[in-house]
Amino acid sequence: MKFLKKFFNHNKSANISHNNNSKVSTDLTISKDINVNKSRLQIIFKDCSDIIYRNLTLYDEDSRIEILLIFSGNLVDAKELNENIIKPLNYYGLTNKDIHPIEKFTLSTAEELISVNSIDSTHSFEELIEAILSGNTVLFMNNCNQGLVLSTVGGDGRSVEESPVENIIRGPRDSFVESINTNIGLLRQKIKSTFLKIKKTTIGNETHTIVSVIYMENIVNKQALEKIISKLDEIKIDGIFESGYIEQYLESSPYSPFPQMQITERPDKVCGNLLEGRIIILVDGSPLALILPTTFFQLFQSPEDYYERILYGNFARILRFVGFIIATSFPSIYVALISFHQEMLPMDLIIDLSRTRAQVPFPPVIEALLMEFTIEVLREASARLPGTIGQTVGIVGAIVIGEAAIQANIASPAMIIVVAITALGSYILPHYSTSYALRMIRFPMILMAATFGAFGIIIAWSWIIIHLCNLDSLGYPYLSPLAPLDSDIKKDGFIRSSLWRFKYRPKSANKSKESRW
Amino acid sequence: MYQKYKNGEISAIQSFVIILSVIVGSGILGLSRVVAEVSQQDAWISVLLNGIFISLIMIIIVYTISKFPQYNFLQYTCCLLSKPLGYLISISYSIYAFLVTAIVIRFLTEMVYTWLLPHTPMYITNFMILITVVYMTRGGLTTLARFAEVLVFLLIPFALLIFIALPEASIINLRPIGGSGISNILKGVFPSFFSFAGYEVILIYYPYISDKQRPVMKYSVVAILSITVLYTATVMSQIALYGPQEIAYVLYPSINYLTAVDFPVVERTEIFFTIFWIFTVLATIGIQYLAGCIVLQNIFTIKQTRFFTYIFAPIIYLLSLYPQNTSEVVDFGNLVGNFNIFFGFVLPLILFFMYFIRGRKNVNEKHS
Repeated sequence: MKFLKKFFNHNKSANISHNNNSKVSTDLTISKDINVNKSRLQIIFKDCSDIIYRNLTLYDEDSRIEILLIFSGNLVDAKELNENIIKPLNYYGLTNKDIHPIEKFTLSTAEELISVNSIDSTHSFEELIEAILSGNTVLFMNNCNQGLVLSTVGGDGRSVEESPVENIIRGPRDSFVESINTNIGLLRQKIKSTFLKIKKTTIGNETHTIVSVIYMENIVNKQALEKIISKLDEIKIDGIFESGYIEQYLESSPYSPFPQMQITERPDKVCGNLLEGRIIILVDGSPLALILPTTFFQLFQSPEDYYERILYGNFARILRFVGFIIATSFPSIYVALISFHQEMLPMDLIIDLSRTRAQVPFPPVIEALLMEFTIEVLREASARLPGTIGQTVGIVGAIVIGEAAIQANIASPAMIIVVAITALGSYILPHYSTSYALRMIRFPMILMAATFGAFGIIIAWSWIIIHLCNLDSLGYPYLSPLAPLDSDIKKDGFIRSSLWRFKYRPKSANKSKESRW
Repeated sequence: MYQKYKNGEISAIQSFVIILSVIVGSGILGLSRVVAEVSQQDAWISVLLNGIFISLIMIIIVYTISKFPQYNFLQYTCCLLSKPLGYLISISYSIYAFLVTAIVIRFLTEMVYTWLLPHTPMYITNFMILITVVYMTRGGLTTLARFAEVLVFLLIPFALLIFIALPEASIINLRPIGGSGISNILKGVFPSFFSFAGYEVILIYYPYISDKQRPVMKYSVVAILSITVLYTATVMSQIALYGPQEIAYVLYPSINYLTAVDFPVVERTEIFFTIFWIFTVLATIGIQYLAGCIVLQNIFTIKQTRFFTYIFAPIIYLLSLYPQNTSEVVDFGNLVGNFNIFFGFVLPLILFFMYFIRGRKNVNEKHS
């Protein structure tokens, strides 16, 4: 045992010293000799075949000038690098080779020659390495103890397309892509205000992912903003590949079925929320933005509600609330009615139901669970399969299995209708992650209904409501503006009112009392 | 509004909602029977008088407590009535609150047993209700107030249910108005007083209102008056349907009243009503239970009430299973109702007078 302990301890200390070594190498200052710099970088980027070292030679009055460009061949925009950096420098070198101009070639001369949009000079090796790894080009010159970071970020990425997940019929079609710069650009295009602030941090000690906190400075609640930024700084993780990582680190109740922040691909939705004073988190490499704080009622809001005429928008929203009720409790209501409260149904309906159910060997609860389970499996299968096959699986499942289940007397036709309507109801919500919540709630509800009938449903609903009352999103009550009750409920709760009544922002996001216009 | 409502605080509107739901929860179901037994067809006048009377008490209560904005229940009773008496009253209040909780839980169990689950043993139903209540109250006052706030909207469709049996009812059952005599009408105030039981929780919850600059007094009186209107309309319509003699034989007239009509899709409206009424009663139970726990918290000066909500749950479970049958439940209820006279009527009056006799000077000194 002791030996093992020693062994592990030894390992640990070795690790630490190794880390220290790498840290020391990055803490080095830039040498005046570019060959020293080059060899240092070559040690750091050992076995990194994508890093390219490009030497250029220029001449001035009395000496040869060595210039070294270092970049990652796959990340830079090669055209920009060739046209705007190498070409002007070489041209300068060629024209001046024989003439030997009088002026001295310094770093600022290089800055004048190079025509890229952003040039930073730096003394720290660490920054240089980070710049190279994020697609910039680093320029060293001999007799000069600083490096230039030239912005040449290129690389391949998706172009802005129509959102595949959050479709709307009336409204802008653009959606976020993986590149954070494109995404911020999309936001700037919509909000042309100097109050739109973008705070950048990097998270992940291996991936160094850029995470941006975006807010409107004049509207946002500073306290909430500080809380988010401090929470982001506390995150310790090696890599971030999706905004979902950040979501899980930020939410206060990770075991709740209800999402405590919204995710969206739509820039118009993000802008709408920014103007309400909410805070947006964008993660490089993820097309999904996080919106927080979020209230329960926002899960039922689609941007289209506001774009469409008021009546249509409200019709759709009320439909969604009905869909929510159906998706959570329709199968359990069916089970409760069939097993406990037959007397509540009209006589004719009871006769019909009992005739079709007479052949089914299972109690209603088994029937319901079986069919619900089948439909969940179908959904998961069709979501993972490639597009066209996925649709086929859906159709096969719905028609073949449903039909066969009735023929084989495993389920009654009424049960199939209930399950089908429930499945439709759970996809009516604009947020995909909400439908997860609904589908997870459904199964315990069915069990409660099978054990206690309507009383069980009420008890289960009480638990859900109590849980929702307990939840908060970034310190704001989740059920606001219903509980605590607020006058906002008239504006944008169960229904949305006319746009000119949105003069004051919802109180569940900011504390500024100024009017919007 | 960022974290404006700290945990354990409520808003003025929430206090309004709490008063509303604590009273309506258990009071309305048997109301017209108990009152009509005494004052016959004029029961609704008794209820109306009682409502006005209780609004006056409410004014007294809120006026007295509003002089002690920083004090909780224990502190202002100690300040006004001397320390030993204050502790005694606080402890007896929490016992009273737990007894009420137990009775209302039992009452709800009976309701579920009668209308929904005749084959499920009562101790299981009871247990389900109790864990819901503990879950509701463990988060403290803020969660509870929000829960009540969500469910108070159910009262609107319930209030509309009053009208559904009106085509079957006849006004002649209400006549002659005032025919039962003034003494009977005044006697009828007494049983209807118990249907308003629960408003005394404002004694406990008032110190936790975070925005006291809003007209809490107005809110509480409006709460009482709107319940009075609801009750009066209920009693009137039920007597008009059944007649004062028949109603004495109906245990829960408010539920049976709904059997008068059938809707095309939902048969048995009364079961439908009972199902949703469970929500309201749950809120009532939670509010009463937490009031008891908060008083204990004041006495023992612990930061959270969560501890008390856990340890008193088994006691309340046993208490609520103690009565053997419905009539014992009613007897037990009447017994505890007498305490209600003390906490809802006598105590506020004592506090009010003591404030004038000795408190006024002390309080002013302390504030200056």
